[in-house]
Amino acid sequence: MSYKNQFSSVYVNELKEHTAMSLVKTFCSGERKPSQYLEQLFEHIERINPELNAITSLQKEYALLRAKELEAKKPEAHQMLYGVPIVIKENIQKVDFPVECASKMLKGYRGQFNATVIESLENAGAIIIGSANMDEFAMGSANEHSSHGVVRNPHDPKRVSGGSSGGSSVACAAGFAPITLGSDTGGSVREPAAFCGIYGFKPTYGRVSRYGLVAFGSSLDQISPFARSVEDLDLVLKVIAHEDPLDSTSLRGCYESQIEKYTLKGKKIGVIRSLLKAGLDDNVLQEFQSLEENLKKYGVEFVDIEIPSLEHTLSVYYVIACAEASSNLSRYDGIRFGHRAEGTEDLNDLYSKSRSEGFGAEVKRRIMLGTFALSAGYYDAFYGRALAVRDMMAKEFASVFEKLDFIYMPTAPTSAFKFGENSHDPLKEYLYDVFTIPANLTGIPAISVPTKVGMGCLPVGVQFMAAKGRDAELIAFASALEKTKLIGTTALV
Amino acid sequence: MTTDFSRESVKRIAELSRLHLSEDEITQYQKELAKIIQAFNALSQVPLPKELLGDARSALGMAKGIGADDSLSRMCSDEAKNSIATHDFLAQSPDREGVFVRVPAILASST
Repeated sequence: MSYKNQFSSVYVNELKEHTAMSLVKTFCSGERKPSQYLEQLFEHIERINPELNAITSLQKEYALLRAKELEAKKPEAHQMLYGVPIVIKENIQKVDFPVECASKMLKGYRGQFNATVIESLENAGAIIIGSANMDEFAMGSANEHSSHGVVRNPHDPKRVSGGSSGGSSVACAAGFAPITLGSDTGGSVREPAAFCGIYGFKPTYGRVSRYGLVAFGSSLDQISPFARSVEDLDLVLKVIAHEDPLDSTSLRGCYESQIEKYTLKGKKIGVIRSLLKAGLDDNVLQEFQSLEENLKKYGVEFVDIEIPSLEHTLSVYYVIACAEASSNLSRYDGIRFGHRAEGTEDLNDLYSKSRSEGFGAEVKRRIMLGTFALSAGYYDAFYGRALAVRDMMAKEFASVFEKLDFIYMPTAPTSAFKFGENSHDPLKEYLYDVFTIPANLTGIPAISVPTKVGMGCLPVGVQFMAAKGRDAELIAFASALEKTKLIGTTALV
Repeated sequence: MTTDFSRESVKRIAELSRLHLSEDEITQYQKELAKIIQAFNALSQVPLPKELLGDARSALGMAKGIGADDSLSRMCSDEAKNSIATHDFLAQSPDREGVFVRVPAILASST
């Protein structure tokens, strides 16, 4: 079968056959072997990845060996992801995989231990097939700041993938793997998911262990999955969303799916109308309103709400995230690992030159912004104030959720934009995160779902948020929504 | 706040950040940082509830106290578990000698 879109394939257009759920069934029944599936999948990846630049390291040999190991034994009941290929963002530690964080600073650095999510995935029978491109140290909203070069959007290669988990998003959207992992610090999974027409879910802070994730903003970072169906998100969360003694911010208990017993009728959803007034492109507003109208027909009630502190979203986020980044990234000093400058004069010179040569412009900008916000004389006015407003915001959200099930927002103000449109103005780029950041600041779960756009139109994502810890309800809601066919992965036709 | 961003301020922030900037970079960051900080300036004017007034350290303490959650921030026992072999760690260092990370002379030569 031929498609107009050069990146299209059976992997994304025969969606049901290539979900993780159906692959597990096929592999467990013996109908097909994981290694056979991988051989064909690698051909597909090698054909179209060079242009998209989503995967930076395809670990064919390792993956095939792992598939053979799995095939040598009978699948066990706990192997919920038996044989499923998975791609990870290259800021997640996996032994011997590159963990370069798309930075010259970590060029050649390889994983020395397995992140907890990797251990969980592999125990469940998953096969990690490679690592994905990203914005340097996860800083960016378009994947234009990467030492590996930009990631292209499969719906239109002249446009950005979204960021910072652009590689993982495109890998999923282009059919390289049914499930991929990214990290979401201010929308870095939900925004690229919206731009690429797939699902991206940021769990409650602490629901998925951060052990083995290279830190950017430690109080905001969360490993988060992409998938082409909500069932697959549910499946991977059953595997990775659990308590972890190695992460002291990890939540007790685990994700318990509610997908089976969920109805839309009677659900109450809040909409912050004032947020929709400025800067939203027509196609996004239209999709947003159309889904709202359609959901009313299913008995969902929409309520207008206000969260006053949201006015300060960007300021609070960039002060806190940059402050944490400036502290986290101080470990890259050219001594024990990473890039080291040559011909330096003394210790300070060694630090400064190694860091200046190793970090890209956006990372330097954020380190300086953070250092400034934490410096004497500004600490109280910026950092202290940001922490206090963050706390106010969390309380305002918590009080809204006492009366409502979910909050409904766009994921991003526009669809995927063309390369270079925003990268020359940092403030303009930061505006792309305005709808996604609140979930990170307040620690609540949020999902970006693809709306049913017209044939050939750019994907549009909309976002639902739930109260802290209500991850399973949010996924169950998205699953019920998917069943109505009001939303669904945007086809590459 | 824009006035705070003289070339000297940018140099000082870069120094604190352990970054070496070229003259062109200083000019560029001077403009960008001033613009960003100006946009964020409203933050310092936000009225805060009484219990959150005071310096940042007390605000931080309050925020932590209010946000206290049983399921967060537990402590782990302090046990040494050398799960990664020394040579694996050393394998990633820019320069090494035996079981040591080799660094250039770190003190400026005395004059």
